Amino acid sequence: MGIVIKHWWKALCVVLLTYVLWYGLKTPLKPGILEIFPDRARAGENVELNIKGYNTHFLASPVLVYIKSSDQHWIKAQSISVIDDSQLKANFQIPKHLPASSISEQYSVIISSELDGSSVFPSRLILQQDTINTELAKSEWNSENPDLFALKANSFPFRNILYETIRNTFFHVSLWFAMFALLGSSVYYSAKYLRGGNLLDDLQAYSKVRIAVLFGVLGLITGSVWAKNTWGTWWTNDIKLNMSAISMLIYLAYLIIRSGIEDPDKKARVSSSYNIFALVAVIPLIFVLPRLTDSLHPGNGGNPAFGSEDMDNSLRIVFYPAVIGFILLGLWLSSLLYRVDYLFWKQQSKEN
Amino acid sequence: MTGNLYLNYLSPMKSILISLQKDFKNEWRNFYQVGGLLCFLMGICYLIYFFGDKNQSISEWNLKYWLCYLYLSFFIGSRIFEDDMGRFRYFIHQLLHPLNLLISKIVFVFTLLMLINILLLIFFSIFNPEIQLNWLQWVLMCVMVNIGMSALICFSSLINSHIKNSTLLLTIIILPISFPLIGMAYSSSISLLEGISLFSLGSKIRIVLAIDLMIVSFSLLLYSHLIRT
Repeated sequence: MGIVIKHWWKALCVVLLTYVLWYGLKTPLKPGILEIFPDRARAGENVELNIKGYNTHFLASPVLVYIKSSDQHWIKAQSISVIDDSQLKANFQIPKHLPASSISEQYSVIISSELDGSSVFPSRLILQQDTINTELAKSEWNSENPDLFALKANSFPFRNILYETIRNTFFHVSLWFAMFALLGSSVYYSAKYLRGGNLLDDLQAYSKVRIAVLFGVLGLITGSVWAKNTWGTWWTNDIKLNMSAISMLIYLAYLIIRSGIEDPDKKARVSSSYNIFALVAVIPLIFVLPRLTDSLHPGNGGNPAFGSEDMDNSLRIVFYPAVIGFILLGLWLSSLLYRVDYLFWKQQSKEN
Repeated sequence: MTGNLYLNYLSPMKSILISLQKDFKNEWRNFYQVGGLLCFLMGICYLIYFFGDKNQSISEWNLKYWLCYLYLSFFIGSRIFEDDMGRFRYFIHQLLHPLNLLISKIVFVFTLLMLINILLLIFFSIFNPEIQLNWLQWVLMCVMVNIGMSALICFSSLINSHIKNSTLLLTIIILPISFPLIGMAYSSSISLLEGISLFSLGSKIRIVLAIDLMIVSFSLLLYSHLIRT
């Protein structure tokens, strides 16, 4: 018990990361819509939509299906035939006029049941009309709120394209957060060394940079795997992705500089100066440049970061512990490296 | 030369000017160095013209321009502190305050980079006359980029002088660290080539100036620690 109290932060790290792994991988995704076929229909026609669900239980409770416009007008399916827990057919009589000021418009499809709650496939269905008459359309479409059920069970949001990979948020993003925390900490020790001249401070900075580089590389790998599953490629020309790779090169140069100098004092002074300078270069690379151009990453190119579109409270209760857990893990690993370096340094000091 | 013995007693401006004069004289007397750089510049421009697409797009032209600039800047950076940190280190440090030495080096590199920018622009325009741009605004943008770039090159070159003083190592140091500036330069110059005025690129120019400020201030701040080794 005494060991746990002494190393409370290591115990906290183990607890948090265990919680992240357990809760983050065990919690199911909210039910959602995988596919809708056909995805086009004409006004005035009768259309049968084949809907394929994910994590759904269509057989367990009655299902309601709606087509909804962006201005909150909706129609309800006239009849629904459930094939199995994840497939159903919904029959709609599309009114003759659409609540739209254009010939063709995108509509969302909503399915709702007491057990699975409500799921939306946004802008999936394209409806076309021959004549535009919004006044008539208002009488043909409902405008009051439809009957929708809320999901009671704990689940992560279902996002088209992301699906199960949404869990990677806990690892990919947290690793980057932890990397920046470690880099910030290493800059603190580098500055401390330059002020005080204590070689042990330089060893602290060195150990933190190495773990930060490891986390950065893991961040790139998890990002690449995520990209393959969502964007369909291991690597893209996305600016944030490439700037992150370049920032890794900056820190690899730090490691090369250290390996190129023999004298410990000189090595510490040069690498500490470079380490501070490197963070100055990394800040515009990762936080400024990606915001100037289009990016697939949230928070860049005008996309909101960690807004309601990317993250909800069910993700936050795992994400924040993951960030703290990975920061603590980084500090733990770097303390191990530091202790090894310290022993070497002590041995060399004795020999000299 | 006897006057140089009293450089520390002179005003900072005067000592910077004398140091600059020394660097330019040294460059003139060893003209093969700067001559080699200019030959390389002309050669690379001609090769791009000869092997490149004659109807190249604006972005292709711009990319080639900044790539040539980047690699020529490595050659400049490789020998900035060659003598001052090597053979003449103690001699120079007794004569000149380290900060004044750094400022004079930054001004010297800035001048060479401006020369490269203008010569590259001339050669690129000769070989690709269909690309239209506002020369004055282009040069103004280069001035803003070169302030940060010259400080960056001096800082990296100083680090390099402590290790093996090789061009390869300097490239490894400068290439990733110069990316924010080169990236912004590329982005701003694309806008200039598309006919957008430099004065309507407010956000980009502010970022370039902010990066300049960060690089120059951190170079000056950390320089004293590097000079002590």
